[in-house]
Amino acid sequence: MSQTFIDLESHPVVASIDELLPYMDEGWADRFRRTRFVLPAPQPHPGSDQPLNGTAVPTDPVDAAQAIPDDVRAALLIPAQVLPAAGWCDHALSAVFASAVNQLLVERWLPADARFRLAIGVAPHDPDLAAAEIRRLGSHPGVAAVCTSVISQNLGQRHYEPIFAAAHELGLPVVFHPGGSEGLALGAATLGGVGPRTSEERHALLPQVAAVNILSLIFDGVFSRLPELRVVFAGFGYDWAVGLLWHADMEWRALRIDVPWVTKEPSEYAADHIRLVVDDRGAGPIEHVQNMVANIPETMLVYGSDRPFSHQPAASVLEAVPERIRDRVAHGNAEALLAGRI
Amino acid sequence: MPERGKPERTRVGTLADFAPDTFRIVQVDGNSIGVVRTRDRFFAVLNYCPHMGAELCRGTVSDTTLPTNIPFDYRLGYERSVVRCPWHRWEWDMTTGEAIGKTTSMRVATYHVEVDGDDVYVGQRRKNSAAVREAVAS
Repeated sequence: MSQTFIDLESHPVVASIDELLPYMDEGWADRFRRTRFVLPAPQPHPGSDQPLNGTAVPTDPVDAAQAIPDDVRAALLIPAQVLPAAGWCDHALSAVFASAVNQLLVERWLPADARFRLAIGVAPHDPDLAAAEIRRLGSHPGVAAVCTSVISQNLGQRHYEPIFAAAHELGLPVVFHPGGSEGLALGAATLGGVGPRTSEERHALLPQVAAVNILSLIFDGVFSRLPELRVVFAGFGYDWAVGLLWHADMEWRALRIDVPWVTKEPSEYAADHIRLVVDDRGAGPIEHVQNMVANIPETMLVYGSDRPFSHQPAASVLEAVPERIRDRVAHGNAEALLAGRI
Repeated sequence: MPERGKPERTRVGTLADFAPDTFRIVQVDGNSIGVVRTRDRFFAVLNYCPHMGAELCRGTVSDTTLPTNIPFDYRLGYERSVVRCPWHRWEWDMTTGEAIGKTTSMRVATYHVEVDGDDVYVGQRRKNSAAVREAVAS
């Protein structure tokens, strides 16, 4: 049987704010209309300036579904247009906006294709509002995850606990995806140094956001508090993980005294709780990437297409993965992650 | 049983020779061994860290934090029975030779210590860490 795929990073695109207004209270709809709210552009990794190569982005769910190859058995919808909300000052507006996008996706996208599953989009700066949204939709049969972006607090800090607790309670993994403001704005997740000046630097350094936060989740004991929680990093690349985890294990052996609640190797927590989306961001010649990937715990890697912003066929993306774990990455790990929801 | 031809124990000093929590390095059967007297016990460990070969007994003797499932819950235990390697700070339980918190399956060699009157002796190398733990617990 030929390879099949579960796509953990498929981006639904909303064409205009007018589509969203019916999914919010009248007063809020009026405010969005009156203030000429600008819908975040459907860009790859929002905030970046990568062109879409002239390709039209489908905004109709039926068209979007038709663009998904038959060998994709399930596609997790990550509403990328919600994620820039992590950089907005108006927390209440962010929550209303995210909720409207989610409701539109539930009502219009999920029925359009049996393969669609929703990652509930939430804005991270008001974790109680985010948790309420997760609980509002978390039991819907088409919902399979939560997605949001990182802000300046690391993920192990108490700030995110309501979000993680709600997701944990409902058995939903939490997907973190770049929101566009990382390294660019005060209050955003920071990159190394004083922040990159150019998009080139920012793109090259973006894995730092995932790296910092993977270690924060482990060393701050989030998985001790929430032992069934799974966290996915999508759009941050993956090939860098081997060095990170090796160093984390070594440091833990030396400094376990500071984190006595970390009772096994950090890489073992990562293997149990962290997933990295394998997309087209693997760097360098295939044989080099394969060597790096071969030493990442094999449960950690899951396939994501980054559709509609990437057009690289899944089989070609997975060439970066050693053959012995290709089935796992193509679908096996995602099946375990989304157990019962796909 | 001691190996044939080897003494069962080797005298390494008197009680007065052992300042609290301070290793005294002795040579026994060609091995460099650190002997230390803590508040109420003696320990003897091979002066060789199994990680990278540092002189382990140049490290410190201390308590350490107890493994826990509760984040930010710092509770001290292993009362004065931990030696911390001076090179990479790996912690070893001088009672069993195991790494604290099972950070590695490597073990440091430990030895029996006997006090006979004022005299301190290093005995045979300890073998079974589980048995040692039970003996210490009892």
